[in-house]
Amino acid sequence: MSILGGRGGRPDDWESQHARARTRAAERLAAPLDPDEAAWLDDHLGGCAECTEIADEYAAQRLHLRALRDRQPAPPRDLWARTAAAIERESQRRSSGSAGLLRRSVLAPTAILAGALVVAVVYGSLTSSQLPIGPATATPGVAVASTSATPPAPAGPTPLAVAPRDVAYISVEDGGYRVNTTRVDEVCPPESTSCATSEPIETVDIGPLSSPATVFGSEDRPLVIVGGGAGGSVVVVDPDQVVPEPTEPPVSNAPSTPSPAATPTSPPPASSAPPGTPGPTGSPSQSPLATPTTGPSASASPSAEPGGAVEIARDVRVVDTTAAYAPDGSAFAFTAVPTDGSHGPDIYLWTVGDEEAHPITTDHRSVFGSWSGDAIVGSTVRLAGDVHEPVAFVLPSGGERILLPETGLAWRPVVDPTGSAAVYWSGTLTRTDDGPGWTTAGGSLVIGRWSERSEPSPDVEPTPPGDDQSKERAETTIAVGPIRDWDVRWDESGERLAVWIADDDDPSVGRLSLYVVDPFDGRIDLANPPLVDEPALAGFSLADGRLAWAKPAGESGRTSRVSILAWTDDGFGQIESATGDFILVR
Amino acid sequence: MVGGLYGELGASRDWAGSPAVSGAWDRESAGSFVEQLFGRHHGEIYAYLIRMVRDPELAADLTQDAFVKAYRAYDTLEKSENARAWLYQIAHRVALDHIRRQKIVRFMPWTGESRGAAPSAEHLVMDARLSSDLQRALGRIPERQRAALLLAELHDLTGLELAAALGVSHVAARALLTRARESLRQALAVERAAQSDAGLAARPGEER
Repeated sequence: MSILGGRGGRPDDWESQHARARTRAAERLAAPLDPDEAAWLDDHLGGCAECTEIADEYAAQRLHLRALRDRQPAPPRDLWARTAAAIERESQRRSSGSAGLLRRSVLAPTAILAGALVVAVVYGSLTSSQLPIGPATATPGVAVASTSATPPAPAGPTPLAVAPRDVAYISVEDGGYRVNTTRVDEVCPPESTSCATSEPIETVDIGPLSSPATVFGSEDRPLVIVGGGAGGSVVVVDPDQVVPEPTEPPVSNAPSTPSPAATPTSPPPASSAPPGTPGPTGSPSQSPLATPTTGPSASASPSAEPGGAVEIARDVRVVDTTAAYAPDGSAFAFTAVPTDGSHGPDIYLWTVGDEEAHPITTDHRSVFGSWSGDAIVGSTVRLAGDVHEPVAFVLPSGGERILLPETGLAWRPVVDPTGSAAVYWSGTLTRTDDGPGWTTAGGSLVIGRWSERSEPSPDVEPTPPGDDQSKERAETTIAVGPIRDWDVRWDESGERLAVWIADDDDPSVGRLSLYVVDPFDGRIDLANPPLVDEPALAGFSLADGRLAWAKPAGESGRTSRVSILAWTDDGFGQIESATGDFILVR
Repeated sequence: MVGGLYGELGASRDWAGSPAVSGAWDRESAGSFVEQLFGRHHGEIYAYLIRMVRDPELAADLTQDAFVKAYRAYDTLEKSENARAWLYQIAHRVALDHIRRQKIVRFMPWTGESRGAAPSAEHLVMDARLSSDLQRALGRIPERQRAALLLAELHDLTGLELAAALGVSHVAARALLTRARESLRQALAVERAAQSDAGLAARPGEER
């Protein structure tokens, strides 16, 4: 018997008042109810927990369905060509007995031409640039470009307009460090050889820092700067607390030279070390700040002093390149070990506005993987005989850690925004040579099926996959290990996935690839990524339809530059910064 | 910058108030009309069909069929402002016809077996995505109910458009949608229970 029961035209025709309520609850999602019926429903739900639960389930179900709107599958690029040909055949079939009809195309000549040339344009882009068009189909813009009677000319240097977004990076300027913000609203198509460099639209001098290694940012949040020296410290800097010095408007096709130095707006603190000198600075307790303007005192806050930096963790060494702000920017998580090597890694959390970061695991063998909503996903290590095996876990906000043995061997899982897939190390671990941590042993970096629980399972203990984890978790190998380090980021939509893999010899540089994930079926095209094995320094950002990374200095001594790959439905384009010593803000 | 085939359509996107297209069928008008219809709606029609049949290639074939049928039936559209719902109605029938004809076609999960191919790694990844509770549950409910939910919630058809697309009255469409919500709720519960059972059965007797 249906839970909805029979219904009639009058309230007393219903099989039960519960059936009436549940039907109305479902109907209300499609259209407003009659006011009297709506009032009755609210009254009933107020006293019926079961009906309320069902109504809530309807609402949740609707939200989940609507979330799929953002994952529109892209039609094949040749769909119009195929359809036009089928219509043409149909037209000829219908008119085959009609003598005297003009035997010409039922469709405008340009229509069929367009369908065919779409492919040609795309192919041209592929071959000339090695940057395949993304999953977007033959969009109107592309088709329009190919409707002329003449063969399509290769895309000229006309810039590709993209939604304006800012990309930030830190440069070394005049012995200090400077936060540069460059606005990217157009990029050059791959065919262009005269691509403009992107000049910063705003710079903020944040004074000398000692050997910053990696920098993390989030919109309107302080920068988190991880020291790369032996000092072991993490500081935060809030550039918004410094009055920025606007630069001259960017000049199109400007020469590839560093931008004119902006006038420092805050006096850099005195430094005992040569300003801007990278490298270790000495004692283990020394901050990356050569001379901290503000110590981690109780009164300090990240924005306490204009242009100043605040130390949120000291005597720790941040391990792995995986660290991140929460999606809502409220907190920052990272993995660190004490500089004295007294124990293994734990996950630290810094809540924006707090004075210090705090460890949120205490087993000394936990590493951060990613955020999953407001929960942290990470891994810990267990010993299975002589083998060190990773076990993933989720740490809900305000909750207790929930082990996820059902995910199998999963080290540093980076979960996609939908929570249904993750990139992780699928394999065993071994102790690091240089400290009390773990690194990869046998296995691969994979993308695989992901699921996590938000609550422990008191009745049923989840079981790990069987012997064939690869099959059970539907894993696809991205890189075979061992891998010294890697960094993985999904874009907001879960449709782009960037993977950076460190070089074995020098983990500060590596290779960056961008993969397209099918917006609907989750396919990842490993064979034909838009960006493949591009040399890149550690640290990149992926958001808002653009991937930004720092190219390492070339063998000829050329300094590094920030490169930004952006895309729209019409294609990909790229733009670069002037040269310099850069650290990208992730 | 925008012009040509789709550009012209883009310039006349407001079809409301445009001349009715009913009348005798003629190939020139039908071709021009379908050309514009394709430019405007092929993406969403393809999206709807792929969600119904869960096979990208098949969905492309069915999308093509739908527009050929629209070409044939051009003279049955009375008001151009109803073109979208009319097209969805054609696509809906194309999908149901196929599903009924090919009874082996399953909505979820699709792993490629229906074409005799071993699931590739990519398919397995795809399957992982598709294997969410919601997707599987959608596969458990009757096609017409599934269509009603997809059209209303994903493709944002109004009540009247939904009725037109499903070929039923407004009241019947609303009732179908209501039943679909309940069916999906129950299917989700079954799906979760099945998953839980599968988890238990996979490793019986294993130490916790």
